[in-house]
Amino acid sequence: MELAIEVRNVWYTYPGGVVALRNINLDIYLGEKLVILGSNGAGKSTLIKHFNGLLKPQKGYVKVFGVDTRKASVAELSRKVGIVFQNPYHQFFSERVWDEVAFALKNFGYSEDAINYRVTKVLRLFDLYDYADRSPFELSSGEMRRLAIASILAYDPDVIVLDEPTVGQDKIQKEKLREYIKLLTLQNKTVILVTHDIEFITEGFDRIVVMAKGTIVGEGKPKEILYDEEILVKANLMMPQIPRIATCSKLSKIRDERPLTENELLFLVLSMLRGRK
Amino acid sequence: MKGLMESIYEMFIFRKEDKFLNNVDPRVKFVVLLATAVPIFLSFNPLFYVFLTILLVLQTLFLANARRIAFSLKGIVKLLIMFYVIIYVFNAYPNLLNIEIAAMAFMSIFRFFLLVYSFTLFFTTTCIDDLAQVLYKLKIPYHIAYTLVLSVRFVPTVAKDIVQIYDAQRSRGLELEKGNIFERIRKILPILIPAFIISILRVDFVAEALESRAFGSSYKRTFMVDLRIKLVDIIYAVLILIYILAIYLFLNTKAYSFVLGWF
Repeated sequence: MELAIEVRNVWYTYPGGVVALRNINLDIYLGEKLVILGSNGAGKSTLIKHFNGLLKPQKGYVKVFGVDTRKASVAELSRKVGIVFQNPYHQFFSERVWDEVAFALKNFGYSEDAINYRVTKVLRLFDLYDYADRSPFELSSGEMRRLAIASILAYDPDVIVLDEPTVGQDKIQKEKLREYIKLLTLQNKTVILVTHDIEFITEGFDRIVVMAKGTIVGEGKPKEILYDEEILVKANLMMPQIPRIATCSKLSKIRDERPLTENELLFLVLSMLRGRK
Repeated sequence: MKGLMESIYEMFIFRKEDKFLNNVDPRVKFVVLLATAVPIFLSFNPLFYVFLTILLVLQTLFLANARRIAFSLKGIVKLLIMFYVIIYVFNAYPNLLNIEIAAMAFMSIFRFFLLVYSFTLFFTTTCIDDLAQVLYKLKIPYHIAYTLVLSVRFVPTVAKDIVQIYDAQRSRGLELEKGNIFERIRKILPILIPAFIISILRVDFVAEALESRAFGSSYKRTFMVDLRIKLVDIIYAVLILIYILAIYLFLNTKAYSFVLGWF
């Protein structure tokens, strides 16, 4: 697998003196669906701001597709790494949804035809085409979130970072978001999800990195991390519901299986009832 | 722009720290602030500014978190340089080589810097809620005092929003540092518009939050923790006032002329 982002011995201290990152080492591969998990103040957002050069490491280095972020501009790196920020209000300024999506494309110097083609394509993909002439501020919060993702996807970056996309979203919106993430990985995009919504990440992700107090306290597959109470406690997080049920009822020990979703748990219970492995 | 906003954020944020000024009664600090800031408007003597700078630097080094204050002031240096150039060019044009105007522009900027410095020292070491209590005890109606305090309280919040907006737009390829002056001004719009919209929305949220907690239903207000002036606070204020008075007397009496003649 091709290495997309390489983080080596990165330290970062904010001007107020708060040490946000302490010796971070991380490899992120092309096409991977990675979760960066941690409670508030763990350093997640500080880390992702290093991926497109918004912050430069004070010690160590970050390489994006082999390019050292200290030697490249934010605009150059943003073509490879698109960050969808937590609050859509922080980026919307255009009068029309169409212009909002076209903003990045204009900045990157795309031709008029390419802009028309890409904006139309991405608005249709996110069911926003009918709102193209509306103001972004007239949209519902779910639509705003989709527009924020669409405005990044329009310029087709290889890595897409979603910062706390599930905050304030209902279950239906969350399921839609899951579908969009699947769609992105089908296009071999790297998806990095930054969240503390532990229930959302039980399905559909390849790897979880757990952060606490500016360090990585755990890293592994969802079935390893979400069953590791020690790591979750370090990060001030609670085990998700299904692993908690499986652990408390000792189901996971009896059959040595680790269900993460309702279906997996149901299958485990039914197979035990039927007495077959 | 990011550096300036980060400085403004630090300038208006109070943190509980084990520093002398952070624990001084806010009323005392308010008096000291007035004693420092008002003479800046009244005096035109460069020596007065030098003595005042010494006073502020000594307070920063020994009584406050010097690192934070230095960071806050560092961010406005570029802004001060820009103001200096504007004042100089407007006053000196068309004769752009004029030492007198250069000195006058420097004095104006230095006075502005000293004002910012004294207010920074006050806001970084004073809890904003205590400030509301100070104003209330000065017989200012609480709803007016609270409105004043709220406007200060939201300065760092807006500064933080602007930093986040700036990051979000840079992530979409916005490059403020490229292009001529007109292009650069035009490029500020994607930062200013979301900042205005967020601020307007926030006004609505704050108003609703205040109303839902019965703000303004009573004009009499009590406070959970009452302010108390300690002896050490009074000593601090008296020393500062004596210092400022001494400078004033020194610069306005024969002693000053004598020393000047001596040199």
